[in-house]
Amino acid sequence: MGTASSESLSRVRHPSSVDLGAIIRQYGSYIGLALLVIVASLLSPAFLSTTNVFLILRQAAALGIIAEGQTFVILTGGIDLTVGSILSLSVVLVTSLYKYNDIRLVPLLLLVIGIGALIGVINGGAVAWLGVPPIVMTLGMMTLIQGAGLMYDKGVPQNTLTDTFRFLGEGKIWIVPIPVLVWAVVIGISAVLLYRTNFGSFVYAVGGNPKATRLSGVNVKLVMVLVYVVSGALAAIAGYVLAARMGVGDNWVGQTYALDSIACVAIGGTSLFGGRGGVGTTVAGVLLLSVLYNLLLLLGVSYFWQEVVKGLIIIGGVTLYTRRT
Amino acid sequence: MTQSETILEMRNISKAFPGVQALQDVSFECGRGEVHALVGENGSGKSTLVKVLNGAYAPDTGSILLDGHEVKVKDPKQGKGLGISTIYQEFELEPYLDVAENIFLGREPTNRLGLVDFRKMHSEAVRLLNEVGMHLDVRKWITDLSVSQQQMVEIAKALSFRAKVLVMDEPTSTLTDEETDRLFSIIRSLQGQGIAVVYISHRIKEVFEIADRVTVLRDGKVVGTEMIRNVDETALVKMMIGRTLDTIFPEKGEQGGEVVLSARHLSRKGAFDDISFDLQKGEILGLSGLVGSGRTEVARTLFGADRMDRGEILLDGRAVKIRSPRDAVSFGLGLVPENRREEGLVICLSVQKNTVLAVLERMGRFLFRNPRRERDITVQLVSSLDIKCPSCDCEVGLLSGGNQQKVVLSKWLSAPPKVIMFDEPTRGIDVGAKAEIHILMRTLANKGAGILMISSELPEVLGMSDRILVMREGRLVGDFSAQEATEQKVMAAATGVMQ
Repeated sequence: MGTASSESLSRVRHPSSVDLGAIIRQYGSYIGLALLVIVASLLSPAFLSTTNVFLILRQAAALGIIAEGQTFVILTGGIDLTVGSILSLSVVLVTSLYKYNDIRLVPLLLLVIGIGALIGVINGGAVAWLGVPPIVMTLGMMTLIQGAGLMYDKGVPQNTLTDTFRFLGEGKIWIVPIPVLVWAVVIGISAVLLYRTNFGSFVYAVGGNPKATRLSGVNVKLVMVLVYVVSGALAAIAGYVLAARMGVGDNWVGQTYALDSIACVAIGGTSLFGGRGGVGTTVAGVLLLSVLYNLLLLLGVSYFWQEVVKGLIIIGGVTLYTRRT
Repeated sequence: MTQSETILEMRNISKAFPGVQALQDVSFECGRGEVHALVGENGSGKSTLVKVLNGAYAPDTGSILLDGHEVKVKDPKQGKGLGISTIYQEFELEPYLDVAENIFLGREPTNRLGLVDFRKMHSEAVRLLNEVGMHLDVRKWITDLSVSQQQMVEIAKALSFRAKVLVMDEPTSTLTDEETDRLFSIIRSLQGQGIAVVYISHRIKEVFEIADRVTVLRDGKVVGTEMIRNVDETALVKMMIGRTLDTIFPEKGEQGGEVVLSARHLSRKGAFDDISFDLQKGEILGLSGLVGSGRTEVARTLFGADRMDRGEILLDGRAVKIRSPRDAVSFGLGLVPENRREEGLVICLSVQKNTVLAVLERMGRFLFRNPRRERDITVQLVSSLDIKCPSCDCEVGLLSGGNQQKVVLSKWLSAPPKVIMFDEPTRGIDVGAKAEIHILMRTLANKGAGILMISSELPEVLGMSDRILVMREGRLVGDFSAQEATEQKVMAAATGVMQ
């Protein structure tokens, strides 16, 4: 069939022309963030105070951590809706098992990471081996995990606010809040994982073209499982951090995180089809949304408007990235 | 067959794509109630001609006349409306709708309330099918029908569009003999209704059975149009392939190396049966045959991309289990697939990232990248393969077909593989790049690799191969050395025509 047609139908572009689309995708979120920060500081004098800036960062940390994990999954062309439930489960487990025993803090961290990773194995395994579409698999698991959490604490939140926890959640090292430090470390590890390991190269390849990647001898299935493991583990870590801040085992705290993390990834410029994007732009996406919320708060705008504006940014941002020159 | 008035006329159609003249001054006509066969090798322009006719492509020059009036077919939808219907090898049917719904998709009859009149739709469907002697349960889902029955639905769909011309592209490639007979009697009914049938097929025997006239295309030009009764099979084959071999190919190598790859009785139901052959080091083994003969399936199975029901693969004399492309790569195999954009490259990634994709595994799984080594390897390969790109970070989708193909090849060259399989290595590539790739293949062979080359271009098969295997309908039907092979013999084996 049509030997010539496949050639002619591919867009013939001169290789040296500037790919505007790629540039917008790579830097658009940073530029947008910078503009927003400028606008915010003009509109509200309180915006740029140290207190406010770190407030924004501290509150964004959990979402930021989850969004980094989500980025990996989305880069392979998948999606992880379980992250919110994993976060909630993590919060519940930590607050109920801690029992004022500081010694337990580290093992608990490992426990929740292990559970998050295990859920990731189940998610990724079903997607890779059974061919279940990611959205379906993670949607189902999300509900399942949420239910498991409810069964566990029978809907009764545990209150375990202690000094240690207080410190982990509200304390600082130098002037940097601990949750923000954790976020920074996660960003660093994610960047290394994505840009400096072969695994990272495989993630992009699988997202860009799983068929061709498989025919190049790459273990596509393993890559797909691992991205969900990363996402699950990071969601658990985010839950741990959040538990430290809240001190209460609230089962519903993770509700909005799944969709919000996806929104941040998309606003950052990562393509939801996979193969394009990165972990840096996701940070910009998280900050964009966080700064926006903060600004609206400072200006006394009602909560309703926050959601509306968030929606507009998502639509506007993704449309911008989708237009090809 | 009485000479009927001409219903379709294509005059002086030319169509060019970047780098290739697909059709040159092609004229074709078909009479009412005539079955006019269109034959030619892969790449002869048959499919392009069909796409010009049904509106998928616009011709550069030339005109189409339907019933004596000139028509400009803007798109296939309009084409259908004008009476030109096409039935492709891959049917355009909705698997989870029933027969009647598929026939009337988008044009469902409605009642006075504006709702779909299912009863009318079903009875109309039954009527259309009966008109040409087809009997189906119109309430059945497409996915529950056999291929031959699905084809009937496609024909009924065309009838519902009041088709004047019905183009059928390789209609019998997936049918049994019995189903083919049934199709032919349906076609004769269509003829009785005055519908013209343009019948594209590689199966010469069938062409003689069903067609009234035959037109042979070669390299985008019409070689000749004859009444079927005025030609015989040999003459037809000669018209299809007769050309001077004026392309220069690299000099062939020395033979008699050790066997590096052996296939023994490879079989997979529905794809290929009892395939056995040996591939020597330093040899280019051509695998020829028509589209659909199972060659790609064999290569993919050797590479671990698909499974086999039975059979053994031996590498350097030892039996090996190749269950995935990863296994194949670890054994030193490489595959340059048929469709480079879909299977050979990650289009949105750079030249460098594509080039090192297969090698990263060998550099240590999931361990840290070595960007400098990646760069070095890429630069070296880009220069030795003469890949034209502005930089190693250039998106591979922006390169020309020939350069893209070189990138696919470069994937396997950082560590010289034992066996490389090429599936249509120079399809859709301009003449200059073609020659370069041929030289690369021969160089690889001379360095000791065993090369399996699947190709549908006879000059390439004959010019490049040290030995030629021919497959037809999943079986090996020919084994020729370079000296004894001729285009005639290969084509005859591929089409099943007896000499």
